[in-house]
Amino acid sequence: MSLGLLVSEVVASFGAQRVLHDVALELPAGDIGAVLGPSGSGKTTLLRVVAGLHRPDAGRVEVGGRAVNDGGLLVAPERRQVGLVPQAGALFPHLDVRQNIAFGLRRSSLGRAAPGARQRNARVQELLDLTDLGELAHRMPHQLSGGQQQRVALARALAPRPGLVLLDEPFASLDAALRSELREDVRLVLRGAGATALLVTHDQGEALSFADRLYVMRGGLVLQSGTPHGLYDAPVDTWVGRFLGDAVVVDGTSDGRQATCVLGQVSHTPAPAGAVQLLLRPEQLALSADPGHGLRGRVLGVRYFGHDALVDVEVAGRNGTAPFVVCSRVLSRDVAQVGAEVHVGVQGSVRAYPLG
Amino acid sequence: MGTRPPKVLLAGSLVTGVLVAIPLVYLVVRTSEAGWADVEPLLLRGRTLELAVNSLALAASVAAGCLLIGVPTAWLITRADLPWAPVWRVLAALPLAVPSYVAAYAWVATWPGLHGFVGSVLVLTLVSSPYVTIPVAAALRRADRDVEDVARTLGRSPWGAARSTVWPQIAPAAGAGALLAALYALSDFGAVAVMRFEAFTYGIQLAYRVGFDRTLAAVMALVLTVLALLVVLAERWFRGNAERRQPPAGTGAPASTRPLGRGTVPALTGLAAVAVLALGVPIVSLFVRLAEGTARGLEWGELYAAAVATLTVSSIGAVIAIMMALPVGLLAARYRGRGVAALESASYLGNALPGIVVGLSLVFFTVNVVPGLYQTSLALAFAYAVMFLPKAVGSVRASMAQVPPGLEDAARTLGRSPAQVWGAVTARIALPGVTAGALLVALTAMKELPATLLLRPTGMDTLATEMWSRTTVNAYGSAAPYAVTLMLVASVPAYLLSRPERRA
Repeated sequence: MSLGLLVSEVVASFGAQRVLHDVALELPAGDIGAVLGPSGSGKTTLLRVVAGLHRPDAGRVEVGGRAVNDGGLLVAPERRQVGLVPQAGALFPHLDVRQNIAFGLRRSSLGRAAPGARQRNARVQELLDLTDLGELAHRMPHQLSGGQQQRVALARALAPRPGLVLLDEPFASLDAALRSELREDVRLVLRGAGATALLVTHDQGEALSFADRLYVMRGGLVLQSGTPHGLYDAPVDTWVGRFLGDAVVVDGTSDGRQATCVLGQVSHTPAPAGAVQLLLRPEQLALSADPGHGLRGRVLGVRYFGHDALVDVEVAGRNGTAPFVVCSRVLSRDVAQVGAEVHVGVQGSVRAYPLG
Repeated sequence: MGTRPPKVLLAGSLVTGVLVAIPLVYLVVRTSEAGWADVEPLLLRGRTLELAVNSLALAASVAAGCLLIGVPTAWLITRADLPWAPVWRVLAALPLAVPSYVAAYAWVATWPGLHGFVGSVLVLTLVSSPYVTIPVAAALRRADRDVEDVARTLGRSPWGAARSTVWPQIAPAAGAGALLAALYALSDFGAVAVMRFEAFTYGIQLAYRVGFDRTLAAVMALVLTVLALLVVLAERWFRGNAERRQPPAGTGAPASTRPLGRGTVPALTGLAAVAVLALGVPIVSLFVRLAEGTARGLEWGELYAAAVATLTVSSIGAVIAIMMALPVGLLAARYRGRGVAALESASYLGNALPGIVVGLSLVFFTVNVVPGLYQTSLALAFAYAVMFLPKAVGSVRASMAQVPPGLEDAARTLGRSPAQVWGAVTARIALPGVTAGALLVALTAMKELPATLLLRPTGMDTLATEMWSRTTVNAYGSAAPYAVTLMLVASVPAYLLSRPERRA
């Protein structure tokens, strides 16, 4: 497996404040990666380090197998063959769409000769077709909608065939409907171009649906990396679990495979015996009218999404403990009425994290 | 809330439009009364051409000089890692606080040999370079930094990226600023008169005062106005481009500054040299003269009388200007449309009217049409109002824009009538901005010279005219206290302009 991007032991600061502590990640060539973290986690700084726009204090960065940061080595951004799609597109306001896309095609770099005018035009046309911008080729940036601007920014970044494309929250400034549509378009364009890409975002839904590999960052560290499915299923701790999606976390006492908690006896992934925290996804909690099914509770509220719904259920505590609220995901045809009596059962095996 | 502007506002704006048009229209009337047969030889004679060439050469040289000083200065104070950056930022704007005739006086008092074209270009460039520095610095602060980063990743060196992305973003601002400086040079009377350089303004004054040829003065004033109008139109075109080129949404990290390294010493030397020439020379010269003058005894009574007169007449001017500006500013802030745009443009006519033109035309107008107002404080205050109306309209409009219509809608739904909303919300929020606008007009009017010289009531002297009459008889020492007072007054708006604007 050849690597599109390797980051290891990268440390970076703003003035006296350290924002990246020993960050490491590996992204296979041709894959789409997503760095997911709350604001202030250092994800944008990581992206700027990779682009060569921020000088790290230490660490190694390789793009397409070539070292661009290593000890004293610092390759300038213009020599990295890295494409950048910033948040609001940042199109050159004085150039039209075609000229924006052609901007990076003028210089020879790394042994490649500067393309001639014909090759340049052909490449621009290729990208106009790929991003479906043909009709807008002669528009100026201020005549484009937000989504169109982002597509131009992507085409511009892809034009010189960079080894890596960096996308800095490129969908954040768009409205919700447009966002998911454009996200899918961008994914197809990146796949079509065979590009290695790294997306930075704070939106977990976006990261899960966009990326082949996910890197969860917090406080200047990569907490966990892997496939979206793997991370959602087996988060390294309860913070990551909650950050990646809705979750119910309860305390329990485990014998190693089974734990006793407010929801009764639940089986869990192997963990040392003793006090544990259990992480349950709403889809692991099933609601039923059948009293034999599980713990009795009362529906407090329903968040309806059309295809499915989240149901908040207040469950009476066992052995006189205080009542508590759990959340269950049900198909929309199974939605219960607010105030209805339901029974909550746990399906499958849940994640357990030793306490202390 | 309807989209049709209320009739009261429209009527008020029309009154303002008519009032603003008086000086220009009457100048045309006065000239046409003379008849083409009389006007043609005046217009086409060699002397008019000579004055026009002088004025245009002056304006072009000043504009070029301001670009040479202003663009590098703006870059240094916004993008470079400069020691004592806040100090340089204020110093770069402060030359605006030196009225041109005060600067000219300071230079001539120190180097009596300095005069003519060279002296005029030197002085006018130094005092008007902030017209380029301030808008270019603002454009640099607004310029999308991400664009520069993208250019780097697409293969441009740091300088290459700046040239291909930053320069296009600031070029319209630089062009508009240079044209403002050219307009300032074209309209300036004080500096060229002190330097005895025969520019248009000085020529008009000579024709009127020395030659007593009113028709000649009127014809020349009209030609000057046409030149100024052309510059104003060009400036508007550039500024329109500058606004279109603004990034769609201000995002991205705030500009990180670039280390200057070995360039630090030359950069600081350059900035210091400009500051010394534009501010150091006038200030030192003024204080040397002040010491000489006060040694001979300062006439406090006259200074006090001039200060009171200045304050009074400029305050009246500010009040008239705000009253004229209110309907136009309200319309412009809330309603769009061709009629509204035309009214707003008309209110900016004052920018194209040099002081000497307004003064001259209002002299003719009061003498012939309303003799009761001839040589009264009211006529002078009205001249100030016409000339500085653009500042008043701008501040009324900006303060109204701070009151989003949604806020008024919210107040309506909370049970207030339109009038109550106006009093409790709109006026309350807009008032500080409008007051600041009035202050700006008053402060600018205090240092006005050519119109004041022509229109002031007999026996009344303002700070500017007192200083002027003392300078013209080479009484540099006794002029100094007036010059110092004027500079203090003028430094307030200059300081306000130097503060970086807040990002929206």
